[in-house]
Amino acid sequence: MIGARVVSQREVSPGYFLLKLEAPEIAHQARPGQFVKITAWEGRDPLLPRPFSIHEVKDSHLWILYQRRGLGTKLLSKIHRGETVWLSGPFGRPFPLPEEGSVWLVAGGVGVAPFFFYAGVLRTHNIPFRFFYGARSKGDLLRLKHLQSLGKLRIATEDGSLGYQGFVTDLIKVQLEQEDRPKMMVACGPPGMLSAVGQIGEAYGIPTYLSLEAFMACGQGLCLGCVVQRRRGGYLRVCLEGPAVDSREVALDKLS
Amino acid sequence: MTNSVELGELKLPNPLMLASGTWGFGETLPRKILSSVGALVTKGLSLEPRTGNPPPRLSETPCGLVNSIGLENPGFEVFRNRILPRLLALGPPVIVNIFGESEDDFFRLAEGLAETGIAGLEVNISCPNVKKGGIAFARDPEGVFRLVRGLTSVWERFFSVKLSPVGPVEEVALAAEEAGARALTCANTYPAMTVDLSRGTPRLHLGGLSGPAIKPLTLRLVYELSRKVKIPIIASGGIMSARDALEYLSVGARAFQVGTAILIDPEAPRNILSELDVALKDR
Ligand SMILES: Cc1cc2nc3c(=O)[nH]c(=O)nc-3n(C[C@H](O)[C@H](O)[C@H](O)COP(=O)(O)OP(=O)(O)OC[C@H]3O[C@@H](n4cnc5c(N)ncnc54)[C@H](O)[C@@H]3O)c2cc1C
Ligand SMILES: Cc1cc2nc3c(=O)[nH]c(=O)nc-3n(C[C@H](O)[C@H](O)[C@H](O)COP(=O)(O)O)c2cc1C
Ligand code: FES
Repeated sequence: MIGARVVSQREVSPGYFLLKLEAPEIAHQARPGQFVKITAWEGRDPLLPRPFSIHEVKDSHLWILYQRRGLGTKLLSKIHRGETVWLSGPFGRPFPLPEEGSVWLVAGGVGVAPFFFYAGVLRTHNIPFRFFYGARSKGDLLRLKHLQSLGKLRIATEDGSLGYQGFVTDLIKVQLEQEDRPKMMVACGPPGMLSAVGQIGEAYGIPTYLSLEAFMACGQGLCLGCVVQRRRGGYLRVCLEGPAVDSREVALDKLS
Repeated sequence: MTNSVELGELKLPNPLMLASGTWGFGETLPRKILSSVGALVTKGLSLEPRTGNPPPRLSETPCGLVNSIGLENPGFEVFRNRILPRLLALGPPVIVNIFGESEDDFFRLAEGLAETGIAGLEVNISCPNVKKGGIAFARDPEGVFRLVRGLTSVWERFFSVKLSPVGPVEEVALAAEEAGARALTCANTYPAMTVDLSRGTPRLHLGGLSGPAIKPLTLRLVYELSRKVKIPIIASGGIMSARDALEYLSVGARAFQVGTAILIDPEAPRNILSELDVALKDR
């Protein structure tokens, strides 16, 4: 663990926070799709550091985009600039970069977090991509202006308050019938959405990577605690073989 | 270093061991961490591979971690051929934690490990004995006596019996000592569960509680047992700092294990060792 200075933190939308940290060692190593563990409190309760995707990286800084959920994220949300949090990582396998052809990024809710970093790297590698982003309602879409500046973006809201009305998975099905199909899809979001994206990818024969979430302790393959069921039997560790794994590896019906 | 300890015939460069199941097989840990410790106690090993329990396998409680990994492990063959050589090359003594469903499973594991160059065994008795209708070995002092006695005829070197903190602990400890155990590891996790209130059902039913929450409980157990047995006691339960370790050492433990602390920060063992050095010099 290293101490990382909080450069800034702001609530970008009610209950959602953008945290900027100074952490040169981790920032220099980090690749899109990887995550860090953060402890932002003294003492042993909560006991475990919390895992978060690396949202963006620039020079010696990294950003986390997170939702306040329970005690850990509540305590994290109360940290001010100038204070120090404990950080370790980066952990996990980076998102794949296709050799040729385009990538579709499919995000649901706060699952959009790792894609800002990814989109930036895809751009520097001149890999074409399209971005699909779904949320319940317009107000739940995070950092929308910034996202629009990153590249081609299509929005889906369940209530139709912005963009396509319906699930983001319905939107990509429509698009797959209308456009050149991508070489690869990468998805991050709630388990139900991931399993639907996996099924769509398989139906269209498009390699699809799902960025999974699991309750984690070590985040680095020590405890065997963060497993999901493998399709061919046995388990894979989300922290080590993932977070993003080929959908064909995963028992999609067992994601929850 | 003056920190070396002797557990009967087993000499350790220092009293800190990495606890079973909390450091993988070291694949992802920096070598400097692994080679600095007094001993490496491996993840529980069975004869056959085990896939472990379905998720969720972890829950958090105030100052504690509840796990239900289900003793996932690659089984004896893979362990001996592909994992153990790498562990032995790290430097510290390797103690292999074994478990089985019957006495015979333990004996066969011990025989299989006899010529491998490991420093000793740790015998996990918190698992169910299938021949006894699934009741844990640790609930049955006579069963433990037979198991340990049997082991001494196939395994002549160091081995520690890892106690469960629940059940007839004192009787089990005395039975193990009488039957020939060289040390006791005190203790495993506490049977525990957590509930998912949104569904009104257990989240983890057959879990084991570890971490700071259990330290005062296991500390008491070490204190009581150290007055009852003569063989060395290796403490395991909620050790996060050198202070925790010193508390255990001051109530009768000869060595100690670090488990959950590694999951939070793999540097914890090295930090504990250097703090311990300072503290022991000050005394
Ligand atoms: C690889 C990975 C990347 C993640 N990236 C992000 C991100 O970029 N932004 C974001 O908002 N959230 C992210 N999460 C989820 C985030 O870790 C949890 O929301 C956070 O741990 C909740 O902690 P809490 O104490 O506030 O809530 P709790 O009250 O502890 O729990 C609330 C919910 O979070 C889950 N949770 C709690 N602790 C953990 C843990 N140690 N590991 C995994 N899940 C846990 C619980 O199962 C529960 O469903 C990620 C999780 C993983 C595994
Ligand atoms: C994730 C996890 C896996 C464990 N696996 C084993 C195991 O395979 N065999 C065993 O005897 N003990 C196992 N234990 C128990 C630990 O070795 C240790 O005795 C216990 O966690 C108490 O110490 P601690 O509070 O320092 O973690 C495990 C503990 C944890 C947290
Ligand atoms: S969180 Fe420990 S193995 Fe993945």
